[in-house]
Amino acid sequence: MDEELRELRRRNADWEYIRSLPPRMREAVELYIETGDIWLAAKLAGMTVDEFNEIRIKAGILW
Amino acid sequence: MSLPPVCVMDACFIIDWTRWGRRDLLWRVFSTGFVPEPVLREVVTPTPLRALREWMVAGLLTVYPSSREAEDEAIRLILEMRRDPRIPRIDPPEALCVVVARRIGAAVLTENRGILRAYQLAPESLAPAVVWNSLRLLAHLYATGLAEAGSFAELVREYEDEVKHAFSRREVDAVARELGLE
Repeated sequence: MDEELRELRRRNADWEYIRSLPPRMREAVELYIETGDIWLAAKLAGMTVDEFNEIRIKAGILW
Repeated sequence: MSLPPVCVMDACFIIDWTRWGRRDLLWRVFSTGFVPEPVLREVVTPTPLRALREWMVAGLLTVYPSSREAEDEAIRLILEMRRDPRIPRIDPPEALCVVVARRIGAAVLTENRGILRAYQLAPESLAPAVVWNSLRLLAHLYATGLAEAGSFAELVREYEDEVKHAFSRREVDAVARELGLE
């Protein structure tokens, strides 16, 4: 199931938007896509989980 | 299935669930909720903050104060879970929710796959805590008639559309099968 969800996140992501993000944010979004770990991704981005969740939605990434 | 009347909410659950139009149905299932202080700090956008405020005003929700002892226990839980390769990663706020829920005999509401898998594999290791995600809560709401919908699948679609949270189809089918909602 983890691989299925990872594939869904990869497939649905708006990669153009992700590539336009500043490096730290881009790495955080890619970390989220690969692991589904929103807390760790938020911390890498220097954000709260709630703030990072807004980025996740903008990037079209499924939970 | 015995469900405690008290819940402990994790940030990922809060920021999703509070976007749902029928979010207050939560309080038809639980009489009291706790949010650990470090989890509360993760919530900063208007919609979830408004919901938390409303629930606090109504006397349904309160904050579980932070303590060094509980946070240390959460780290020990993370290290313990990491020994089992079948359990995906667990982060400190989610682990803290489990620690609190174990202490007070509550249900943990989280979307963290690590905690959910740990509970699925060995529920007794987290007892008396019970661990549910929003999908399980939706299934409970539908099965008990608290959330009306044409079907369970329709309720799930409504939640996914409003919240922008996509569940794995396999997981939806498994929960539906388990609760006889097919």
